[in-house]
Amino acid sequence: MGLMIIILLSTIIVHSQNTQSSEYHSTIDTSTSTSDTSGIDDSIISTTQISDSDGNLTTILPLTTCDINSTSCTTEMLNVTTSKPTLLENKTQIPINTSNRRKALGNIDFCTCDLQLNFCDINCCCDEDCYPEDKLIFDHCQVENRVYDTRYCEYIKYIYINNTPFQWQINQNGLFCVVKSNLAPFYTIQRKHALRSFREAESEKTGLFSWPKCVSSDQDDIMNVTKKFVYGNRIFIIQNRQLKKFQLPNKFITNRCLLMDDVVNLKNVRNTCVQDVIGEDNRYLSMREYYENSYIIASESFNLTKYSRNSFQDCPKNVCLPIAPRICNEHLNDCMNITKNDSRIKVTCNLILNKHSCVNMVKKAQYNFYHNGTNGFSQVILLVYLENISYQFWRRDLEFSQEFSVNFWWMNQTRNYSEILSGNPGYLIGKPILTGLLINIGNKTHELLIIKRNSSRFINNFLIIPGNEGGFCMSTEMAHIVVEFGYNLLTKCKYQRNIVEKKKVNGTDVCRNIQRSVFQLWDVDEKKNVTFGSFGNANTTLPDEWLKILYKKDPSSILDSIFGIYNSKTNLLLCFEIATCLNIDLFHSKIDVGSLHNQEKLLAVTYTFNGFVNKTFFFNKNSSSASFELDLQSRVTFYDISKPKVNKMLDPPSLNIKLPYDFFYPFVKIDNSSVNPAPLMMTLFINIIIIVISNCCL
Amino acid sequence: MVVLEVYTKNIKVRYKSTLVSKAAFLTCICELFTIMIPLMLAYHTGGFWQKQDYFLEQPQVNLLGDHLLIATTNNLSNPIVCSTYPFYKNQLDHLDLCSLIKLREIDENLDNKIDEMKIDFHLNIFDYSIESIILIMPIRYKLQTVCPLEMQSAVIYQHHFCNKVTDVHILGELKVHQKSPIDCSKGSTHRYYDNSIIVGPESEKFEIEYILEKYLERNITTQLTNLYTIMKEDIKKEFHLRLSVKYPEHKLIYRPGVWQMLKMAWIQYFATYIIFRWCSEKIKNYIFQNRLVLFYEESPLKKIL
Repeated sequence: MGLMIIILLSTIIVHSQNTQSSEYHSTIDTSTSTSDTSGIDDSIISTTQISDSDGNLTTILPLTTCDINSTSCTTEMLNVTTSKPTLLENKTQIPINTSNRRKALGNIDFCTCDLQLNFCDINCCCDEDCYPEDKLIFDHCQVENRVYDTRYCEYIKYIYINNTPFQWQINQNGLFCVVKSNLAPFYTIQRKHALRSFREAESEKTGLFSWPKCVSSDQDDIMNVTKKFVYGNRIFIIQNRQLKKFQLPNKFITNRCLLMDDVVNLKNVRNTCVQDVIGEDNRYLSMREYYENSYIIASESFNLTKYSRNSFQDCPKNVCLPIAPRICNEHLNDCMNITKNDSRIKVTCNLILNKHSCVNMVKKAQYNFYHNGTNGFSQVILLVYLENISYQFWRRDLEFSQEFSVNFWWMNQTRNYSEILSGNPGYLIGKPILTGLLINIGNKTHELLIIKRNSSRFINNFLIIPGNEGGFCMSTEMAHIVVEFGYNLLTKCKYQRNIVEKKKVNGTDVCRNIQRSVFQLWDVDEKKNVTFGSFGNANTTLPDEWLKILYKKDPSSILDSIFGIYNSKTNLLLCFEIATCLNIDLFHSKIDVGSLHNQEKLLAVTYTFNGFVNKTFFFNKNSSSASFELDLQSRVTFYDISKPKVNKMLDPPSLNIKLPYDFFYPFVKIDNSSVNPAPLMMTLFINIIIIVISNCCL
Repeated sequence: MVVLEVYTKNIKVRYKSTLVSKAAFLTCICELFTIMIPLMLAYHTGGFWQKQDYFLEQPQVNLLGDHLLIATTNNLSNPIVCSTYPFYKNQLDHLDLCSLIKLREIDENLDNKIDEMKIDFHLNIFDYSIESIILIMPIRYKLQTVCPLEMQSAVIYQHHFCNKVTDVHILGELKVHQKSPIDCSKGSTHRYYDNSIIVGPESEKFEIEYILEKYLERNITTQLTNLYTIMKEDIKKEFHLRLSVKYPEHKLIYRPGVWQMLKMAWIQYFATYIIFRWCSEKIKNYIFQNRLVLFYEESPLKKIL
């Protein structure tokens, strides 16, 4: 019966505040209630208690709800059954006045919503400064900042607080609640004493939020100048007699040169960023900034304390290495040394006829560090390309982009594209595809085939397709798109050219020359000598390691199918069947080479010409030249044709029985992330099955 | 006097045969099928090995104290970079226009787990207008029940504005995102990714692209969901960003241990096995009672007789 009472109690609290008492099978001792309350006043709230045969009490609580838009309130009767407390046995009526209510709410000493002394706090029902007439303006009672233990049935007290029109749901998390506990008297240990020392306070911070320590600039790095000459250590420079980290401008978030990026040892870098202040004042535009009075700390024998005494003036040149500047062309070739008073190293800006012009601004700066292993740097060469700029003086959105790069070389090393591999042995994803020309250095009877690659030109060593420069096709050493292993490509561009023909040519010849010009752009060889390295380390002396292009229709057949009609009256040339689209398909497979697994090998390269168009071009009869414009497309597709590797038994009569891959899942490791093999557990599991089965059988 | 059945006991009748005999072969086949067919059925109907399970837990989420707020403005040369990381302080301190950061971690139910985090950023924007923001707040993420786990993650928020906005209030919840189930053992705390998501020293590692790219490579990440953004425009020269993030219970998928897998597999196997065992017994009973095969019967009843 006691349990039933507890369950009933939970139900009332959770589900409704509108429960109306209807029938009582016990004697009503006393009844004092107000049916039409015009305000919330603790002093006039009364309860009715009904005792049943088991000695339990059903308390009828008046629940006052007020309409938000009016001052009228109605009281509903709410019955709550509780175990009969012994103290209440003789009492017939509990008038809940302020002090009683406080007691019921758990020995409250404070009214937590009373935040104004001597004035009534709105909606604070326990505020002693509020007179009954003040409470008429209350809409609800503020939720008090108290935590109740929901294991105890005492949370019934929420009924007093929840006089809102909304239903409360109290998470009791159980079938029963504790009406009364017989725990021994206890007290609560809690942190309430003041901390006595700073150290004690500091130790309390552990694991709690705190703002990080204020940081100062990283001057300590200067002390690392004598660190060993190894990859990743910072490079230091003495600039204007000050020791600094060697840094180059770089962009951040936007394209502007906002950062000064640290250059680290033996790591090539290439930064591009934009200068928005264009003028003589911007030191980063002047070539002097990059080399003058600048000395690179070349080796770890640099003695900071010794040389810093005299502002590094007595630092020998093999330790404090001067930078050798050179002015080069756009591609940083054809470089020239400069003299001390060279006029080209000075940025000069002038305003002439609404035009602002600046000359000799650094467009590209490339540092080439030559090192000899642990001995440090032996030479630092700065290659600079200077550019002039002129603009309308009122333009504010002017930008000047710059490129900074650093390359590290071994002593006497020069750029040799033929020595750059794209994998060893298999191709690496993202590396360029090796190309070369198959040539015969023998004679017709005794062929001696070798692969020829021009080591100084990138485009003669790797597969490229025409790049798009302002919408127009470009395929030069500087402007092209590199085909990277594994990346499919599609490029579109306009090919515009003017070709001069010999006298007395017919329309078909001109059209074929136009196609030849397109082939030249695509680097398509009519003689079919172009080959591709099957591995990333294909050897030029072994032609077997190189693949010839497979054609659906070879370039000469394409040329043969072209014909043209020239109209001498209109000077128009009509060309038929001009190929404007090139599909390069590369087939590759992952193979095992020795103990190395999944090495990418190129198995075939096919060229397909399509997009055949009939086009009319203008042919100038006098100059015997044809100007044409074609929309070209180049597509590169990689096909992975690897097949699952199958291990074949050497002896043919073998039976290969396969269970599903996860049949023994918990015992055998089937991938990196699954569980480890557990042979012991497997044995145990099988044993358990056998024991159970044998017991069942017997 | 009344006679009651107080106890019953079966009499065991032994049917014996030689090793190479029809009876032995039949019994062997019958046993093999009784064992194997339930296994095959349990396996092929799917879910035999419980490869993943999930649990719900409210994580213990604590801010690490660092932050990175990057805002681009209509002036490309003047983005705003507010951070506590030394790299940004050293390199871009002049772009730190944050005037006030106000933060509160709230434990509503006093269970020593933070339930909500509120942070306010006040930025001096002068005459600029904010075009985009990205906020990264590193957090320590801790689970303690089924899969004890400790890792560093982040509250990341990103937004692009179409017009001039001066007040942004973001409401959201933190959610955990995982690509594959996590391994867990109750005995030890797994420390997946227990390192900072922003770590140098190279400047490229402080680029937003790099940070986010590396963050997305992780198996477990945290992200903001249920996002609501309220924006206001004003003529004031201050940008105000308010972020309120709740930390609700998270659902995590984990890879059960061997014993849990065996328990589930055994339940499935045994449930099927007893049916087949009953059928097998009936078949064998029929065969031996009707003497369809040759055998020698050894019955205790015969001995008595």
